Amino acid sequence: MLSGEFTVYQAAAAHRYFVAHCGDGSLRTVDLSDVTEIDSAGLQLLLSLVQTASEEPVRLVRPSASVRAVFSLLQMDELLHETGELMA
Amino acid sequence: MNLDLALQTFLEESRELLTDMERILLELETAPDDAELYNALFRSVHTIKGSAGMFGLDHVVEFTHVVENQLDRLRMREIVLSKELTNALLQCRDHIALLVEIPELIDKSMQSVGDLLLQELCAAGARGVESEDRHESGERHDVWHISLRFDRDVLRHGMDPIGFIHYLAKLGSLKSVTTVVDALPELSEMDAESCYLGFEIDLITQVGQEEIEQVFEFVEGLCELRILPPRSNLQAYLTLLQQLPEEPQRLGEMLVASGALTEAQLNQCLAIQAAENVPPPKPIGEVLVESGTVAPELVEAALEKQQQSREKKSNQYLRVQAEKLDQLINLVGEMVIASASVSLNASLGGDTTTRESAAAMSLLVEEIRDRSLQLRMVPIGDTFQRQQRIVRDVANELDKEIELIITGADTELDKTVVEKISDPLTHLVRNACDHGLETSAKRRAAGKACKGQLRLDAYHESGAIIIEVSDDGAGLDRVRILQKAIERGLVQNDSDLTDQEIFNLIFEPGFSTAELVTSISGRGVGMDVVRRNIEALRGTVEVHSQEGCGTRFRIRLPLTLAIIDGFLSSVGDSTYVVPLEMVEECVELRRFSQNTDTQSDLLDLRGEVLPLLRLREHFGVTSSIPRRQNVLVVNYGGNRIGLVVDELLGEHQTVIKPLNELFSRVRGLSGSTILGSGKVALILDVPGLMQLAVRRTPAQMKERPATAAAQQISIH
Repeated sequence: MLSGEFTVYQAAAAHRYFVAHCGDGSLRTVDLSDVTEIDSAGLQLLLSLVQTASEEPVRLVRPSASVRAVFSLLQMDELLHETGELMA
Repeated sequence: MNLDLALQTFLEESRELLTDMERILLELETAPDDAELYNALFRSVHTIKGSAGMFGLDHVVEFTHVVENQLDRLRMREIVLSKELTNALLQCRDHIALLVEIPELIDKSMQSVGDLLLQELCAAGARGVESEDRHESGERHDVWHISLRFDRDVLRHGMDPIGFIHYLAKLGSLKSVTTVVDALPELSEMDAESCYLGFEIDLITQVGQEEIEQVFEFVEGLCELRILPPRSNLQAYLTLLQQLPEEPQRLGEMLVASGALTEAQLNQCLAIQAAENVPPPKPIGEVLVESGTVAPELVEAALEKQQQSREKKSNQYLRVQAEKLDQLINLVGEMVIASASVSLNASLGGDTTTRESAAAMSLLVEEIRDRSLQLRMVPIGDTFQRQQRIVRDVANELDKEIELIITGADTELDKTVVEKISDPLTHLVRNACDHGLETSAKRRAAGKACKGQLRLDAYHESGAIIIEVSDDGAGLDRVRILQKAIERGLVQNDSDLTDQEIFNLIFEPGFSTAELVTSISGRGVGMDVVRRNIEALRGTVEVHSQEGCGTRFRIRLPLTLAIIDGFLSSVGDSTYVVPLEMVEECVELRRFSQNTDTQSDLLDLRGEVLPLLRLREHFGVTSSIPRRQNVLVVNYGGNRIGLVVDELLGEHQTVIKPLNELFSRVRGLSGSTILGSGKVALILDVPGLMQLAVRRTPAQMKERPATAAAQQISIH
């Protein structure tokens, strides 16, 4: 679960978190419902996460309005999922 | 004003414009969206019409007026250029050429031919409108293509790439956005504060390039920005593909997905790229191509070269009368002779300073010689370009699919050579299209691509220019050629010939029979004429062929006709020149290997048999045989003979002077030159001598020593 702003200011911390939880398979979904703002740094982190975890797919679920806006601007809506189990 | 002279200028100008017109029409077949080409096409005909009007050539004006109208509509995008229209325009171009070149020919029939052509043209144009309507209903209206690659540091500078795209979206509507994540590393290797993103965007908007650029003003230097305006031609996309860091194939797919390019256009693009990718036919290049590891540098080099040739086209030219140029080169020739004389006298009697000045001058003279010969050099590109039309027409006529690939169009050679090589080249090209390349059906059956490939290539190789005409057709039929040659009595039944020797038989005069055209895989007609023309230019032609894979004709031509580097030798009082590139080595003719009675005509050269030709006997030199004689080993077309001379005198810059007709029957001479001492030296015709040496038996040689009249010429 990510919440609040997800921008270049939070990117380093989020990156550390993703790296720590990506390898062990505990990270299966990322809940974006509480993200109030996302920028390119956040976006590329999510993209890299999805790309890297191709064997055990990570799903981006429950996008907030601001996340949805960015993804639809870049015509990548198909990466978002409305529902999904919440993060473990 | 001299009207004749002006008319001449008009003729030349029209010829150039018509050549341009043809080139543009053919170019438009590959780049149908290039607005500049349509303008140029219109201008070419417009200019002819205008000039013709000044000379009162009403028939030309009338005809071109209709053509011009159609071109104007093309230019204004009222009609599209269909294949049919291209055909009609090409025919009209030919008709204009006729009208301009031979105004005497204008009569009723000519008039009606013209009218017919114009009718066809207008009909084709009218149909173009209809297809355009359908075209218009599609999309692609003012779609700008924008390529963005952000710098790693852009985020640290507090900029957000997404923000720019947001802003871009306000300028119009985003038709498609593709996020390029190729540079995005694995999560663990990523630096969260670096930017790895790139975007390919199609934007539908009414604003201009400047406004789009302004959007990215803030990230200038932090972002690679490339903007393709609406309706860019394929070339522009090709360059884009080339410049971007990702794989062209992958990028191309992106462009197709976003609708900027159609699948067909992409393929064409990649094909163009592949064509440019082909390196000159050096062995190492072939290996590279075969193993599929052509270095990207090659592609870049090819593109760069193409760029250069385009820049060259826009260079300024100065029109000089050919005659003036010839006079200059003649004078330079004289100067070379005079300079040789100065050097000679300086080394004989001068003091050190004179010798030094003479040496400095001869260096300069040499440079002037090279530079002035270069003035006559023209790129072979135009001659190659002309073949494009021939290939197109023959392919249409025979219903074959043929692609002509031209490389080395920038290669320069003497204007005279270029003019004279045009016919043989056309012959070879026609033959290759007609007999060499198979029909699409046959090619498919043989597992080849439907489209036959014909390559024209030119490049320099050690003081000569090589022109290659190659096809990927069926190749020469070895068995049939041999059979035919035996029938014609060209070779003995049981002779043991290599493939190469058999292929070369097609150049024999006896081979040019009409029967052969239909029965064999071709190549018989007039090949002897082709060879004769090439040899008249002091060139050679050889053929390589592989059954099922294709045939390659390799023409080797000297760079210039006027001056050669020669090797001087003497027999008695006479001096002879042999083209330096033919001289392989010089050996002493030892007494013990020489049977003075029968004058042995063979020499044992390190275990190889070398036929000898004694110039003393051949030219009937009467002076006594000196104690020491030398053998000049000359090589021509893979054959070697030894020329027996008295003395070897070394290298000499030779200005070739043609022989008077009186001497045209003397065999073994190709020209004369004047030495520094004022004496005349004769230039030996090595191929001719070679035939004599090989064919003559010793007995014949004794009976008929050739008595050349050219013995005692000297300049007074």
